[in-house]
Amino acid sequence: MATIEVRGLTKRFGRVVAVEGLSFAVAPGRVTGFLGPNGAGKTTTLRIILGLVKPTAGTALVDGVPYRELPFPKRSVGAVLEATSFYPSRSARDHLRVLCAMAGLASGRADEVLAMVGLTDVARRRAGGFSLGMRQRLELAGALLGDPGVLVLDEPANGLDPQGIAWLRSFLRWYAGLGRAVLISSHLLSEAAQTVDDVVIVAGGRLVASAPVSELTGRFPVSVRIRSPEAQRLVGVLSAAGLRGHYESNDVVVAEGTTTEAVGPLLAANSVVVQEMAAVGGTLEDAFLALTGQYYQLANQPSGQYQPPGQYQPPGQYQPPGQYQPPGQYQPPGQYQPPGQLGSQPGRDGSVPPSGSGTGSVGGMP
Amino acid sequence: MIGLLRAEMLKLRTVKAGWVLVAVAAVIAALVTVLFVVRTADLGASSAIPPLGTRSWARLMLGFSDIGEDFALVLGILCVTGEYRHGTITSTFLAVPKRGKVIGAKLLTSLGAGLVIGAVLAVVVMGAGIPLAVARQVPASSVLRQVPAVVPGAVVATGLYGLYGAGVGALVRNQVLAIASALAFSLVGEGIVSLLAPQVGRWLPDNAAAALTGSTPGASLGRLHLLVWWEGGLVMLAYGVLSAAVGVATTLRADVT
Repeated sequence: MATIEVRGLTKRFGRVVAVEGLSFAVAPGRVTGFLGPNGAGKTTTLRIILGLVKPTAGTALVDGVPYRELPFPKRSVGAVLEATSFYPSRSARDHLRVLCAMAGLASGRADEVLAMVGLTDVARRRAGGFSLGMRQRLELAGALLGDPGVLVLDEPANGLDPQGIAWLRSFLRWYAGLGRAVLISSHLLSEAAQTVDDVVIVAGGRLVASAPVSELTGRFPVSVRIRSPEAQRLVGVLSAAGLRGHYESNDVVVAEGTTTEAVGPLLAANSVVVQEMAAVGGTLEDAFLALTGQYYQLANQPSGQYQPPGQYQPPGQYQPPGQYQPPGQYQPPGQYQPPGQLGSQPGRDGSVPPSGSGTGSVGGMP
Repeated sequence: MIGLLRAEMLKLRTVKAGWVLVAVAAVIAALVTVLFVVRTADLGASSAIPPLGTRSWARLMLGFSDIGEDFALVLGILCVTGEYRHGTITSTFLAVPKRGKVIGAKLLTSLGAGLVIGAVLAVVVMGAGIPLAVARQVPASSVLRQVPAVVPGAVVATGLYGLYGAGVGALVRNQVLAIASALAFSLVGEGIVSLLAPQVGRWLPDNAAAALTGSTPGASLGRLHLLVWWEGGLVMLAYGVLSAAVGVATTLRADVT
């Protein structure tokens, strides 16, 4: 069972086609990145999923039903859409208490979520005076009120300082670790690469790829850049092993379509002196650029040639909903600390998986 | 729905503009009442205002309780359009995706807010007017005897103006446009229509509300044949509910982007 399922979604605004034939699924227990260039249709898709925008065709289901038919929407889905939706003179706490009353939740939840996002100290201050980062965290608090099984965030890193981003990243990883589904949109690939397990890549309103990050990055060959004083002998060893390569300079050789794990032992066995070795490519960014580039190229050709990659089959390791922790027992991964104090690790309790687990298979950066 | 009503009331309470509107309406009502009582005593029998202490004078004074009608109208408009203006409509529709339900709660809340404004102004008018009248040798009982005929109607009319405002807000999401056009119509447009076509004019909100209060403060209204009080009330209710229904079916169905 997928918690969000989008099938054949199309949305036209007048003559502009924002989304066309988009299908993908978001699995519980994982952070899914919804990636694409600006104007790719990400926000429109998220707003359709949340029942704010009506699709021209297709369906978007949350827990198997359209958002507008959810009996308790705030308990099913928490959403962070934009950082400006507060009544300026209303306090942060009152803003959340209003949401509690609308969602049929006890107003005590407001104080709980304020503590979770580290806004307790400013709870009674007017939200209009909040910084962009504080607004983002207040929005997140509002999304968490109903202790939802699905969290949807549109460009959550916008306006956050580096510490805030690190905090948010560990928070989202922790939340997904509870067995919840987390869907975040982003146009910042390097940021998303450190947070997400799965990616859904869109460009021009169409699906480009939908797969786990590791699978996607694995699809694109990695090169290995080697600096050696005996470059000529190095090329001979590589050729003998059936690897192709080229000179980048007199003492630098790039071996194509291989990994450091394969090249290292090969060079050791042949006693080649190596001064420097690094993997090139194989990041989510490379995959993204390759895929969206491919899309743009194909979009200019007669239609029908582009075959989107096969649908991603989620692994079967979900936690059943029964294992969710009830609200109030959360151990959030480290309260947000103001810049300057936050030199420590973002997630100090054990529930946060080590950072970068989504990109574990990726070699070092060039 | 009860949670939604509580939420709407909390929204109104936590918005500064609501309190400012009530306070300004109360100050204006107090000033008008004081001026009215003091000036009628000064003017004597020659003026168009009925003599101090008469039955129609007492009704005219108590009728100032409906001065809050246009304030209730604005408050009702703010209740709906404020959410669009400040972008809170997104989180509202996320919490309650059934938009008709949201507007239903706003109609009821605006009705309640209007009733509160009406009640506050009734207290202000009586609190300021009656002691001043008594100080001018008018027996308090002669004024109090007219209260049942005027004050409940004025309070209900103010409440219905709040509901009408929420309906207007649902129809016209742009706050400035909604307030400007509703006030212009209420303060100027209705008077002109009433003068030119009294048979149409009596069905308009201001005159329907006047039917409820039973007082006709404007001199030109003397020539207008008002509806029966309950007809006036139903007409006001219909304005609010119908404009809200049209709003839900049209503007509020639009995508929230």
